[in-house]
Amino acid sequence: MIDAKHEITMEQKTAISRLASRRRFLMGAGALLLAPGVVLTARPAMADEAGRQRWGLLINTQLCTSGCTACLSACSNENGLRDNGRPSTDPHWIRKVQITDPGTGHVSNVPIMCQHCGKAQCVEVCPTGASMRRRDGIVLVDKHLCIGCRYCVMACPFKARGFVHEGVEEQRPSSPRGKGSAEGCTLCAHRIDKGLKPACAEACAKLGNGAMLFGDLNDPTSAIAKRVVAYGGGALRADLRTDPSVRYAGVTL
Amino acid sequence: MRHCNIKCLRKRGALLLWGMLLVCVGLSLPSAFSAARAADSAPSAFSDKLIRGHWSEKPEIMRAEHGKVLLEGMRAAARDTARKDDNTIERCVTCHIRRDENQKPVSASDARHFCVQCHAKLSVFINCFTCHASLPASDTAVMDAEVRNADAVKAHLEQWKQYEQEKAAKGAAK
Repeated sequence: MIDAKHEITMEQKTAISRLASRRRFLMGAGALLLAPGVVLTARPAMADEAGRQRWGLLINTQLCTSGCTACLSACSNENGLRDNGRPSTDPHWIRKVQITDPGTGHVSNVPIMCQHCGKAQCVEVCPTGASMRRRDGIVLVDKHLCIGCRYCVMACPFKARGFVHEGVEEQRPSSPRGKGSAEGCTLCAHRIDKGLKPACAEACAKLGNGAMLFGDLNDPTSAIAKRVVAYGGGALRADLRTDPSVRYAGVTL
Repeated sequence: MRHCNIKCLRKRGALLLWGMLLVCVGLSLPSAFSAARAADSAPSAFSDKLIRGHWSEKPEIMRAEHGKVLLEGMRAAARDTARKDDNTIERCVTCHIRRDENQKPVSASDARHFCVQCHAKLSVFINCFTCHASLPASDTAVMDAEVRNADAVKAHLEQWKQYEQEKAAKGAAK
């Protein structure tokens, strides 16, 4: 039974529902506007509680040019990736994608490699635990556990996982790879462990246009974290909320 | 002869047992000392011949456990970011390098390769070299001739040659 004092008139009801719908609309708009900002700035501003690193790349697509293949060749050379004359199965850990804005005709070059996601889909789907995320955020394949089912290849929204289709000879000691296993960019984990930059970032700085910035996203004092906070860095397929460690600046994704 | 009761017999038995124990210990002492000496000298004599140090002083352990050691190294590097250069396959093939008649290092496709040789002999069918490199890429020992003639590598090869000669002489003496 409703108390007479608290009885709401019809007019009040309509006013409340109008307010509520307006609020809903405003909240929706706010979420739309704020979502990319929240995703981009919240991460690097806060250091990891356990003091762990999170290695990442910030790629300035305005500096990356279409003719340059410094990062591609450096990656192939560092990891012993050789073409076998069959482009559909040739190993590539980085691929350069051109994005053309239909409105302005502006062309952006976007090198795409494993995005080393915080919530990596390849890790989620792997049935053997071979696809894994290292302590410092690098997503790797444990090839001793990989059974070659290729779930990760299908799950990756960035087409960054590949598969070794043919027998490999003369591998690089730092990058073991063989037929029947999934593989992808390792962010040159073997170089990072020695205190070096990934081969692509080094080659881009030396031979290319300096479009790649490598660093620890968890360290608020690092150049990459500062740059991401100051200028932002878009995530590929941000709608999937995979929280990638590779960020892109200078292009609307 | 004095009559000996049960108590006396027990005493004599105990004494006899103690005596036997002491004799056994006395006999085994010299051999134990010599074994200890051998255990001290053999591994160090072997490790002296190893070039650029080895993770283990006892080659027997490495012969039996190298698979586990390598897997541990892999897990530490891949999962815990604790990469060490002394428990990798690259480290194995760097020291245990085998050369052909032209002094060119042989890869795993050649039956003379160190790992392949032993695995074939013992019918071990795990083949690390379908994925792993069977030659060290960054090592001076497998670089071009000019680099290979560097002093450090010369010393390395000389040491290895000497070791193989000694091993051959030891084998002949047996």
